[in-house]
Amino acid sequence: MEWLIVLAVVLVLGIGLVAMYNRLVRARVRVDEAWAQIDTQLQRRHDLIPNLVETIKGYAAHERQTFEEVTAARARALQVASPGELADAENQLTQALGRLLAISENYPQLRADANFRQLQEELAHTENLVAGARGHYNASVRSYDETRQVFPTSVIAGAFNFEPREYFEVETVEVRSVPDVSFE
Amino acid sequence: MSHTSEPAVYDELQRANRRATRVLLAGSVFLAVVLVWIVVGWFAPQAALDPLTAVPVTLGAATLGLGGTYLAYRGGPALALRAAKARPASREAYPQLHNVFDEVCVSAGISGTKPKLYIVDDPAPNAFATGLKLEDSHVAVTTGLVEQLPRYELRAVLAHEVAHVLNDDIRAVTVAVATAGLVALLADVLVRALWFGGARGGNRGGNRGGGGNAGAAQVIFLVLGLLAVVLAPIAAQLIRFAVSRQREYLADATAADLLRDPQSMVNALRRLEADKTELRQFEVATAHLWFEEPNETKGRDRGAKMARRFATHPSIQERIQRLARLNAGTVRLDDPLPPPPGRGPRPDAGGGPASAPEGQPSTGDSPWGGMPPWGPIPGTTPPPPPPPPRGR
Repeated sequence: MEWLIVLAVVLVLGIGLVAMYNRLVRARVRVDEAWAQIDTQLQRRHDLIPNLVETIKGYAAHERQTFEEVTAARARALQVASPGELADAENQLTQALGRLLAISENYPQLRADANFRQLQEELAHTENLVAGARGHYNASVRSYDETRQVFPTSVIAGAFNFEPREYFEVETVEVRSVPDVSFE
Repeated sequence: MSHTSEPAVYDELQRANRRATRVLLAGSVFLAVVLVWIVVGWFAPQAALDPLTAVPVTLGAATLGLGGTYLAYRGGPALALRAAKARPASREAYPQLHNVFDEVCVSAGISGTKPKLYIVDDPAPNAFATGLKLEDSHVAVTTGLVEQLPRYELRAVLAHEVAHVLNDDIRAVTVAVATAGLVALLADVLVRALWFGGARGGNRGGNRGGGGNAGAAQVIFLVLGLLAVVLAPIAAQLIRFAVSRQREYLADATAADLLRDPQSMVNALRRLEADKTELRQFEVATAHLWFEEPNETKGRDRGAKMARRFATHPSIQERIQRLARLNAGTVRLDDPLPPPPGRGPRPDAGGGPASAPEGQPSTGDSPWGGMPPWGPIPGTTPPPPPPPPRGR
């Protein structure tokens, strides 16, 4: 009789453990998925940049320094892999791109160029995709972290070594503000 | 980090919302079963009071009715799309709409199973979502919405519709409509039964030799039937309300949170409030689906007044207020709205009209015309307020 009760308790405990373990794994898979999504969107952004630079070059060839900055920032972003470093590299790329577009403001002909306008829409789109993917990634990391640290699951997370994940940080004040460019 | 603050609240609200959907489903099944039992009871009072026969007969009839409702439920989304004369929006014809929609889906993390996009030929700016679950969901927008809303407001409206999909509202709405239909049908059957069956039933009751007992049962079912005829449609209507008003607030909030851009959501609401175009593809049966309640304050006739009393949506003003309260400090209600798109040459075309209104600091210096400036996050979202949102 007693051993039946013991068996039942063990069974319930076991089911609970498995359920918690699965919850953790699911949350982790979502984080990985979201990360892959960011990767895709960043790739899209990197692919677009040479086109943009070429188009603007056609109208504003002497803005050499800005082009170099963008190209260098892109090259850097292509090399790094960890969320922290990548966020940093992408922030620089974002700033460089912001300066590039601010420059393009100065060339009415360029702004009227149909090709450039299409690129502009494409870039706004890509930027929003990047921002969206990042937001989703951070939300997934948050819920993973929550599951990892909340009491009963935290025991499982500790036992099975569910490591913490990095947020994709961008929210520094400089990045958010519109880049300040002087043309003189 | 900003995202550690409020979003948990949305998660909770979302869960509560899903729970409400399940309660709703159970409630409507229960209502249907009770109605069927009363119908059975009217025709065969003795049987209905005897559990041995009443349970299988009632359950059988209810299953039939619910089966029919289930079919209606499955067909509901397709019907709603047809009622609105929605046609699939091709990427070639609406590239920007698709771009904006993709952005919303990526933000929501559902780019793998995107809802299908539809377009409704109608000058009134509006949108709705329908479907049963994420994999089988549809979002429709009017041509008026695409033409009149600037990019970021269009994105906010689409996010609102996607929020309905994420919050399981589309299923709830479909359930509510199907139930309302079934209950209306059953109430109708009851009315006719009371009218015709009643007289004959009384005679037959005597012929069958049921005796006084049957007569008493008949009276019980007469009272129950009358009650049901009056109350059932009201209950069905209440179910319909339950799925609508609160869910609109939640979808607004979820959308603003998804995009981290409450300002655009508020701007879109303000623009739609100012807009007085009436939706033409409007049917009472699908009123609750739309982003903005069709026919809200617009008509002056009695029908419109009645519709207001039975409004499925909260007023836009109330929606704006709630959203502003949720995002206190980051949302401005009095800024001029960004210019609408598609008016002749784009505002950023060389030598054209001044790019953006000066009063819009976040977009005034942008190369994107009416769009927020270049940046990782649209400039319309300054960092969210510190954790307790209502400081001061």
